Amino acid sequence: MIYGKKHIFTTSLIDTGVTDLEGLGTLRWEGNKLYKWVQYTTGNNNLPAVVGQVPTYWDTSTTDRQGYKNSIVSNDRENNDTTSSTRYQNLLNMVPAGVLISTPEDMEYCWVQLAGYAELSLTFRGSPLLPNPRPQFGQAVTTHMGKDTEPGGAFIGGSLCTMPMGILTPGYITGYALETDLAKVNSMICAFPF
Amino acid sequence: MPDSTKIAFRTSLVETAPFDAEGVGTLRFEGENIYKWVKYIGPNPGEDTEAYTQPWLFEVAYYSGETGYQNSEVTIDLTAVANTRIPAGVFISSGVIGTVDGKAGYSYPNLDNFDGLLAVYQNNYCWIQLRGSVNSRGGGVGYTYGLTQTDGSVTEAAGLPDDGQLQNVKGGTDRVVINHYGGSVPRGICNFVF
Repeated sequence: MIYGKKHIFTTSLIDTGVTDLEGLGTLRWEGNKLYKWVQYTTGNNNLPAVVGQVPTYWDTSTTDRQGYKNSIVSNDRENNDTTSSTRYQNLLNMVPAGVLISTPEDMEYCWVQLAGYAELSLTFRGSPLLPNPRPQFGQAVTTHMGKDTEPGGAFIGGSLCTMPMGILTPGYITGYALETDLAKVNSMICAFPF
Repeated sequence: MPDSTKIAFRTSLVETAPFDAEGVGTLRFEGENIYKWVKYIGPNPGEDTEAYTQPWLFEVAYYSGETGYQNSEVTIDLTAVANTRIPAGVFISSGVIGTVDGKAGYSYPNLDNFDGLLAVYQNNYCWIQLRGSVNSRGGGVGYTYGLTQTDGSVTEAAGLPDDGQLQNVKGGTDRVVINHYGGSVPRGICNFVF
C-alpha cells in the first residue's frame, strides 16, 4: 500500500514557482503548522500577494465556483464593492484560503499556511456589519469582504475581521485572534479548511 | 526537502514527563486521532482546595493566557491567568494517581471509573488529544453537557466556568471543540485547533 501523504518537497516554504512544482493542493506539515500549495492570481483588481495577508479561493463568478477545487487564490474580493447592506450577500470569494508566507506574481505557485501560529501584515478589522468592534483575544475571525466598513470605503484585500454576530450570514471561521493591539503585529491561530 | 512531521516518539500517549521529552507543540498522528505534546502549568494536583481545578483525566485543557498557544502551555484553571479561554485539547494521560508523592506513576486509564485519575503534575509534559473520538466528562455530575465554545463572543467567554467545563454552543461563531454523543461512558468527537 502506498502511503498517501507527501513527505519530500522540491521547494522551501517561502519559494514560489512559475510551474506547479509540488502538485496543486498538496498539504505539508511542519511541526504543528500546516501548509498548502496553491496558485495565486492578482484577480480583476490586480492585487499583489503580500506576506501576512489572507487570500480567498478565487471563484470567477457565482456560477463558476472552481476556486477551492483548483486551489487558486487571490486577495481580490471582486464584487464586494457594493453597499454595506448587500456586501455579505455577494457570496463570491468568501472561502478563506490561508496566510501568505511569500510573494508570488500573478499565476505563480506558492505555499499558504492553514494551521498553527501566524503573524499578519494587516491589523484585524471590525465586522462590516453593526455592531462592528474589532476582535479581542481568542475571538473568532473571518474574511473581510474587501471594502472598508462604510460604502465607498477603501479597498482592503487580504484582511480579516470579527465574525458578524447574531445574523444569518454565511461565514467561515478562519481562526482565532491572539494579538489584536493596533500598535503591534497582529497574530492568530489559523484554522483554515484543508 | 523532507518535511518535519515527527514519526518516532519516546513516550506512549498516556505518559507524562518532568522534562520536554518530545518538543512542545509536537503533533502526533495515530490512526484517525491527532495529539499534541504540551506543558501543563496549571495548579498542582492536590494543592488546590477547589477540587474542580484539578487536571482530571479526560478534562479539557485550555491554553494559558495570551502566550499559552505559542508556548503550548495549558492549564485547567481559567481564573489564574487572564485571557485563558482557548480550549487546547483533552487530557488523556494518567500520570498521577491519588495524592501527590513527587513521582509520576503511569497506568492505563480504567474507563469504568476514571473520576479518580489525575492526568499530570504541574510543570510536567503530556499528550492532549485534538482530533478523533475521545472519552469525555460530559454528562457527569458537575460537568455540563456537550458541545462548546471558545468564543465568537467575549461576553460568553467571560462567563465561562472556571474549571474547564464545556458549554453548549451559544451561537454560530462559537468554536465547537467536542461533538458529544453520550453513552454510559460519555464520548465525543473532538476538533481542537492544531
